[in-house]
Amino acid sequence: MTGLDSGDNVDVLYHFWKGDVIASIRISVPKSNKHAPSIVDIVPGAILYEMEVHDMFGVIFDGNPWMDRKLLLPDNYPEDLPPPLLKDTKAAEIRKAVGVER
Amino acid sequence: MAEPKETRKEAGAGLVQYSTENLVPFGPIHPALKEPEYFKLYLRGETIVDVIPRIGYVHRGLEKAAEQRRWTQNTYMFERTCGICSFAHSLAYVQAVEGLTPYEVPQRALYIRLIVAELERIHSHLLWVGLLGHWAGFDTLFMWVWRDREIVLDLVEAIAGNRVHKSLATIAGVKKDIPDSMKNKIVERTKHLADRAYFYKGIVDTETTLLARTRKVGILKAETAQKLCAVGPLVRAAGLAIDVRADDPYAAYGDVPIDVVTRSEGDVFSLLHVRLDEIVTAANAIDYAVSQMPGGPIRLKIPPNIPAGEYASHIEAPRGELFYFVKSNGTAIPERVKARTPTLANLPTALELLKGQTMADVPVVLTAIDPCFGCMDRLSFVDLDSQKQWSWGGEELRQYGIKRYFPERKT
Repeated sequence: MTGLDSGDNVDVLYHFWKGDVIASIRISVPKSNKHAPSIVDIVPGAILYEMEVHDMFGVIFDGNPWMDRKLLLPDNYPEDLPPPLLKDTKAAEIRKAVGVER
Repeated sequence: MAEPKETRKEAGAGLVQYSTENLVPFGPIHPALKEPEYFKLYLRGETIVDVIPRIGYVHRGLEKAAEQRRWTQNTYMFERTCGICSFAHSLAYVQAVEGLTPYEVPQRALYIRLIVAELERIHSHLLWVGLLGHWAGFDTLFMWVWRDREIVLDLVEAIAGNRVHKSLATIAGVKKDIPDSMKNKIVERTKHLADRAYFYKGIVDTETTLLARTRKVGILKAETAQKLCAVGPLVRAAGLAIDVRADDPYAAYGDVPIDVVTRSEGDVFSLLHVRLDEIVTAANAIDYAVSQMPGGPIRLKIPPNIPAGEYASHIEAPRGELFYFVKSNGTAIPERVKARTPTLANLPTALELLKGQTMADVPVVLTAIDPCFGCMDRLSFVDLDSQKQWSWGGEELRQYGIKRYFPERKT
């Protein structure tokens, strides 16, 4: 699963591979209301990928039981800083916020 | 003794009734060099009932950093994602970038990529077999295997100039050629390693320590593997013939025959067999590729700007399917690069495998997925009944496992 910042929307790409079929499915959620349905009930293995997109882009997957936790981000990542992989978030701000650079 | 009753609210997990259930925080702080990860293990007596992962302690933000570096610089940065499958990372990345460009990669470069990728697979599998021997309490295997690992590292050094980070793959080619004078050496050494793999298979089949610690431990069923999207040797040990090299050939895999090794049991013992057999098939593939290697250039010179577009590539890294997605906006700097590593794909499966195992099996089962985090060091134990706390390092846990299986043995 890949998250993409495309201006006003966040795109989420689902990459599937089974047998001879390789498929990428793209959904788009507006940045003002970042909600998408979870696919954990169909593909249980997607749980960590959804958590990753949630951490990095702030998309909330309704139905994923672990949406209230962090997977990759540090515990001291500030709440008021937008998610790190959005284009508006500058790398210098992230470094400062998590204490890598003072 | 009356059972103490407690209730506890775990975020997202609802109410859990306590009787003799213990919480074991597993990681993340440890003094050793291995990578830190954190697992909360819920135990009932000796048996694990639930596992909650918290990863990301070594998350360095490479995907964000990639958006500030040039396409070529990123090749070397992504290579540093992992020391063991470093070539696999750079290969998957350059293949994704090459998908956006109209150039055709020279045939000779594709063969060199295959040879180095297979050498890396031999190295990674040897390393894993040694580590499993160590955690299972059979250190002789560890010493033997890691001595043989030097052979493959020397070979990689002779080809690429580096032992760990090969820095060999580049967009539209490879950076170093394999001269004809080196071919004999490569074939001779890999043949020797294949012989050693047969030797280790004989040991694995007969050694009581390994049989006791790996047989019927961490059994993965094919349906579970498919449901949880497991990849690599883990699914092949469960009986599914899924291998990107054979199913969706890249580099020179379309020309070089690859036997997909499968077993049906799905336990750690069959994983040992799958990985040892794959060392043999990798050696055969290298042998074939070296003899069939075409002549010609090894790389093309291409402009720094990559045409706009999106492309995804996947390859079979030693640990399983490695996936890269790139998006270009037509400049010299990528818009987005996404990597999906095999360990993340196998993590849900590992959590499932741990359930129902005893604490003594934790190192063996976690090692079974060949995690990119070898964090067995520093476990702190909380006995909720008495509120007593104590810590064990990885070594103590290893000794605990050995004592439980072989109580008569002196350590």
